[in-house]
Amino acid sequence: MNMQINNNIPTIILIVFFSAILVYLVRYGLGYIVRIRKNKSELQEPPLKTVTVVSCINQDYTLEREFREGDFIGKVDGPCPKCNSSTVVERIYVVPLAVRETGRKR
Amino acid sequence: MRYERGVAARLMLVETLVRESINKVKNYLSRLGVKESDSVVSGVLDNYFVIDPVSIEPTDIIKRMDHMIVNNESKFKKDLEKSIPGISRHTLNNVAVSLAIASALFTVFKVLRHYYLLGKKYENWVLLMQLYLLLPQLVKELIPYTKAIDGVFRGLPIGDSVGPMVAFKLAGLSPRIDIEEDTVYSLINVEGRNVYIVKARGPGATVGRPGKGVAKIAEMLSYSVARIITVDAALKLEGEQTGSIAEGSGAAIGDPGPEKIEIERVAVKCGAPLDAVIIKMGVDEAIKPMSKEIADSIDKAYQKVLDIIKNRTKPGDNIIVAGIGNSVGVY
Repeated sequence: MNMQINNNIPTIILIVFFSAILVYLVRYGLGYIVRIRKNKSELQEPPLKTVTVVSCINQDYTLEREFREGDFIGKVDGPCPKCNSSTVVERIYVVPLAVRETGRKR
Repeated sequence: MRYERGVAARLMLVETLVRESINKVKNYLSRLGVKESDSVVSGVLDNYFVIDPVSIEPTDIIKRMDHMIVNNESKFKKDLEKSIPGISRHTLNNVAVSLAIASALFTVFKVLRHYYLLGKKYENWVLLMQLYLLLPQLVKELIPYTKAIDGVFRGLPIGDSVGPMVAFKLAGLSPRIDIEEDTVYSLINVEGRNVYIVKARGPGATVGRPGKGVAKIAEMLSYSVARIITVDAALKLEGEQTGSIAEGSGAAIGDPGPEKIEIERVAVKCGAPLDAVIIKMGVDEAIKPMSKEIADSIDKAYQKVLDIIKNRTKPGDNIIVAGIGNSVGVY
């Protein structure tokens, strides 16, 4: 009995050794795939939404809306629905599409 | 061998970025009706370099540097005007900036490729190893440049536009008067003080010549200027918050020298204190379309400039405020 255990020890050591190598290779391989995917995703920009903030020159009305081609800060954007004076594009910025903001009226 | 393969893979990524930028510019030119967009882009990529003036003899080095920069810019824009006849000034500036971005990316790629091929040719593993270690950071820094081109085409304000945006908030819709090429000023009254606001002419993508603009206004006022305030975007250190405001002394302007020295000389000649208000952001945020975080900081910077005007000058004083930066998307 004792003799048999002694004979199996090198086999067990070899099994443990090769299992460890196998685990290491699988982990390294998975890490390599993740790194490649990460490198590719570096080139892809998360989707962004461009917001234009329009304010009345009398400061009684503010509207956040989607950016339209031709918008720029200082562009006169039409009459104010409250006091009928001019509204002006005050800000243009981008936000990640996930945190979509709703139009706000004051 | 491992370094060589790693560098080659990363270099391919850089090449993809460069090709993507060049294609974006070509598509934009085609949309503008340019038939030979390929020849316009390829004509720009390798040309329009500026050789540094002789520095071993520093006398009038700034004048020489300014002369070369101005000549190169005007040659570049005149050649573009010839290629795209009838183009508006704003669109021309947008095309010029987009081409400059694509050209800068192409130059970086050429330099990296040069060192890679040099390392391979002479089996210089130290050179390849350095490239291998450096390239991941470089690729991350180059990606925003590619994304910036889209913003410039669409006329979106970028992070660097915070200076002109603070200037706009001060000047509002008051008339813009030409003072220099691509540079305007507006005159407003803040509690009895005459405030001259200088900025690049928008909404096209240009930084103008704010230094020369400030110098001309000071000359116009017979050098009777109580204070000069510059507002600009500044690169933050890692760990600092984007959009934080700081105030200091000096000219907040990041040009190679000619514009900054004009402001400094004028301040000395007028005996006027020179205030700098900076809005901090990362290098990628400075060139990408403006984020909400940065847009929100404009009110704070505006308030800071107003505080300086109200608390450190007297009614009747002349004050110059320069909103430094790219005026893309800002009137």
